Amino acid sequence: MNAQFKRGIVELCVLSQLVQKDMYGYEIISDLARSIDVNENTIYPILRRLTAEGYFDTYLVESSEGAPRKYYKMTERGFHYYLSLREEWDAFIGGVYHIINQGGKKNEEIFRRFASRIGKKES
Amino acid sequence: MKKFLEDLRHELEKRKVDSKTIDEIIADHEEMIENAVEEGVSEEDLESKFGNPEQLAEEIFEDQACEGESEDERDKKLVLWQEFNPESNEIDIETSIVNDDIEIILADTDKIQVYWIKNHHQENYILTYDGKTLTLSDKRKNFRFYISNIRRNIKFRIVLPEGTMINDFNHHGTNSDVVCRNLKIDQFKINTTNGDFMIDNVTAGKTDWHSVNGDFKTRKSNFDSLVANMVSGDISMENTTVKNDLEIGTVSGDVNIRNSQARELDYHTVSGDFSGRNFMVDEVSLRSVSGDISIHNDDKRPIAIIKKKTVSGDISIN
Repeated sequence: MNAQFKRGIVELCVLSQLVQKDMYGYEIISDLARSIDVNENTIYPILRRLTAEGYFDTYLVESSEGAPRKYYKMTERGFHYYLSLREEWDAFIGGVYHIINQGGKKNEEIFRRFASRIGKKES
Repeated sequence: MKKFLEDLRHELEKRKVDSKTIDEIIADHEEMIENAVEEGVSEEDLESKFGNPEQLAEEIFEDQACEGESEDERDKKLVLWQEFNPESNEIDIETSIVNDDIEIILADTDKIQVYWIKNHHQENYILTYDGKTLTLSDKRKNFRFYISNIRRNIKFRIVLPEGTMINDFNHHGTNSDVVCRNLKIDQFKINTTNGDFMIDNVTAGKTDWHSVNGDFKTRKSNFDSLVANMVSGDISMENTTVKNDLEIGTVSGDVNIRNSQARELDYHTVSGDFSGRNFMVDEVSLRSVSGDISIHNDDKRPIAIIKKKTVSGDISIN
């Protein structure tokens, strides 16, 4: 997948997590990695960038298990950014689905149409 | 993972990232690695989770490169992109930009000139002039997430010949900050999410601004009428005249006006406050939940309160 395309999507994923609760770095990474193929390399720079932009604040919390954890907290500015990004995403992905569904929604249906178009008998 | 941290430090040093930032990045990584170990992630998995230090350093470095850059340093990078011979001294301007900053000024030139800071995404911008309208847009606007990497923002400077009258100025932006200087505009429309605006020495007719989180600042400017609808963005005005109505709506944004005048102020807000100092206005209306209007003038000319509808807000004039 195009690296920049992926980075944009991951950014929206990071924002979507922080909109729910404050999280520490590794927590964000391991949560996202459960659903999509990303590693720290992609996520950490996004966290830094969004923090530098004023979309997140950070604070430290002592942990009983070891090192204090740096938590990321979404700011109001970040929230507005999240909303606008999400809106764009919905519009874009809605458009994509519209296009890919034009050929049919189910594989059998798509195959039937395609097969008849290239003159191949259904097996 | 010791090697990962050492390599990361080395790669960052190689790119001349400052030592304080390097320490911070290393500390963040020590913490994240430690968290991973606490959760029982094996050494092998750690490596795939944390990836390649060189790639990471490069990414951080690219961000860093634009982060601490001052406005002057950025301006030095501006180079001429295109120029056009104006067909008349009237023009329409349409800008539709996601992240990049725009500055529009007048200068002693007989051409319309557009400068920019070059980057490797320049093929994504469209600039046209058809003799009537100058259009600057970002092709990718329909899927912003694709380019939402904030560091990629660049800057445009549009220079117009002195005496140019902008009939219509229409700006659509998301994070794009805009500066307008020494301009004459008839219809002035802005629609932004997070972009901040600086309006300096501008004379404008009918003006209509929408912003979610972006701030507006005006200085030494004149408007026939001004309608500003904001959510949490703030407005500040200095030495500004609004000939007719000044209508401002905010949710939580504040308004701060100094040494300015308007015929009528209509302010509606949830919790934003309006503060005026030497703000000469004939009539005032307030609709608010908890937002206040407070005006303090040296010149004690009377100000009429036309309408006041508020739960716990107040109007104080002295």
